[in-house]
Amino acid sequence: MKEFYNKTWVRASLAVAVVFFGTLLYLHLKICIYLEGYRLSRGYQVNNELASRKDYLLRVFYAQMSLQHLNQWANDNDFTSVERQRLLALDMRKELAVRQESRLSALFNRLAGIQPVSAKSDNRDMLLKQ
Amino acid sequence: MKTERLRTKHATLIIALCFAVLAVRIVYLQFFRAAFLRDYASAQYYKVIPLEAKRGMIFDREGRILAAGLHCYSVFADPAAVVAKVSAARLLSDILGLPSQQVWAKLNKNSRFVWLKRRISWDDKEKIKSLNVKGVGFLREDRRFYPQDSLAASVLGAVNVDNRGIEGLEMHYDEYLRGKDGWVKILQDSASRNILLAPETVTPQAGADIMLTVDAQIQYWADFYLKSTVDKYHAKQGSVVVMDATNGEIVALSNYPFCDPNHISRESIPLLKNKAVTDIFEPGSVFKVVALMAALDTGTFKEDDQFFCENGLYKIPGARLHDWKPYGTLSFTEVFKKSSNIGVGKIVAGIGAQKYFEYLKAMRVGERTGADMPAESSGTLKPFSQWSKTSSYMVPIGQEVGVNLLQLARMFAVMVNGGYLVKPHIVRAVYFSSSVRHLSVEKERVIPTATANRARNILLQVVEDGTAKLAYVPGMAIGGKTGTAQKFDSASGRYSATAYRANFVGFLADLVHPVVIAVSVDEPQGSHFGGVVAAPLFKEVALKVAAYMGSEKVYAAANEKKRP
Repeated sequence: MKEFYNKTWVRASLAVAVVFFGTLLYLHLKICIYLEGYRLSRGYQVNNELASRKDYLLRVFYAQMSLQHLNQWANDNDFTSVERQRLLALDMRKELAVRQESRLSALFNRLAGIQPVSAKSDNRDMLLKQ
Repeated sequence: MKTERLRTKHATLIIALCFAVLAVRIVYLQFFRAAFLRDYASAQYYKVIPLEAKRGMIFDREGRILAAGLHCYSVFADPAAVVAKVSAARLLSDILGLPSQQVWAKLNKNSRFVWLKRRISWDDKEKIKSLNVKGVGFLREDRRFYPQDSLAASVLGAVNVDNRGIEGLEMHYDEYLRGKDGWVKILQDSASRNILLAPETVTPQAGADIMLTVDAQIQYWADFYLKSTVDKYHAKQGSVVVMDATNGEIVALSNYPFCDPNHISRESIPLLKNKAVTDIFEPGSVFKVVALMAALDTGTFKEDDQFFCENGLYKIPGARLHDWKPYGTLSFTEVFKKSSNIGVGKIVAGIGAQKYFEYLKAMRVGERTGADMPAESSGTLKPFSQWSKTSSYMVPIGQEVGVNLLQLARMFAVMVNGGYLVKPHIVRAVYFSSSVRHLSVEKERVIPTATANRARNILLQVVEDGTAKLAYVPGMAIGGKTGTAQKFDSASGRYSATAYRANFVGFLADLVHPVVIAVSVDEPQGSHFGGVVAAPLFKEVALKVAAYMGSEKVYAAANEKKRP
């Protein structure tokens, strides 16, 4: 066996094999590292893309939900800004009378003793306690 | 044989010479050109990408975003690489919102780089990307975005194309907001793709976020009612300041006409000027409160002392003093309720001009408040040595003296907070990446609490039964003083008979944190009286502020008034 290893061609072959596999391993690791580098770079790109998308959505959100829009909506829908901690509440100051549409139904209601209905709250404190 | 040896020698010599030349070249390259070649090679393999620091955000006191840096994209083209330019121009113009002729002209330029449009949205960028037009690329940029549009624009200011503050808080706090840029050095492959292998990085430091004392909701109301009033009276401009009297926090500061900082131009930049702080004006009768505090503090007069107001015309050294209505005898309180110039003149004469001047200095008239906003004017107050005999009658009624609206608000705060002169400020805290800096409240006592309360009670009567009745709301402790100031016409060197400034400065006394609301409307048409133009504007804002700031008692009273 010892003689076999002492033969020059065997030694040479082993040396070549060691160098080959060593180089192969080195190159494999290097390629793996480069691939990770590519992936990391791609990760940053995706991150930036998502950040851009988030910013776009924020802009769209504020285009429809700015304070001006909110206040306009509150005004149009009889809501009012109340307090810092309770920003919106139904505006009790505005009385919405529910009107009958036809004279016939009004006459019928009068005959039946039905009073006109209003959306006004009798309890103003409700506004302050909600 | 000899010839062969000679040939061999020659060949050896030539080869040796070649190797020698190569060796010399190697030595030259390795020892003398090494640095240059190293840099040359790395320039081919490495790329340095600048990393822009994210500019800090600005929030209101409740955390609502007032200014933020958002990603956007600029689209460029390499005209030489674009094929089918006519169809490309047509497709791109639809998305970019530009005439197709304009895009086509850009695509036909004799250049390798041309901007098609700067700062388009992510959505538009995706649409263009899906077209797959060869030779068109994008560059990501940061753009300052003001989500509430013109709200508090004159306070926030704006930034230029390089994201540097050019007006307002953006400029004043630019050092904090802008952060520090960084860079990253990365490897590139032959196709110019980035490979993040052990990159050399100088990390950018994001700018600090800033939280303001401003409440965006109150700011909205201040803007809204100011605009209605200025439009109603066809006035030149107007300003409103809402300030917490106890600590000097500016809750709202509005200047109209507005400007949208998202779309600034060379013409609109002047509209970003914070006129409530930069513009000085003669305050008129609102300035009488200094005489009021001085008279009560020195103990020269009491509330029921009587003054003969000369039936509306009083000769003083070098001039004549008029009242807007002829008055006979008025009590000390009535002098302020009726806003009698003659009565105030006599009160200051009783105190003594020198003593009165000491109170002006104590109130820091003619000095900057030190508020953290750019370009604050100091106001004007002549040194006492330069006062004429007329000055001691004119200054107490708000002439020959210049103030800005913020200084007036601070002056009134003294009467509501127990006698302290507070330093107004608009930034509550600065949020760095690892620490928070809260800005401290600065105040100094100028009059005793008892005197401040007596002065406050007189101003409550001014609103209840004086010149400011239009600011009155039953059940609410509202005090204040009207002022109608004639504007000085520098061209003629006289006070104008047509141009006025209508002022009203008032306070809501029964809030946990009393607020001062200062209103000024410049050159209103139709009516020019502070009590008619400015007081109703004060009332509208005050009603909203009272309800919003959580005074249930006040809110109930306001409701009672409005119920049918």
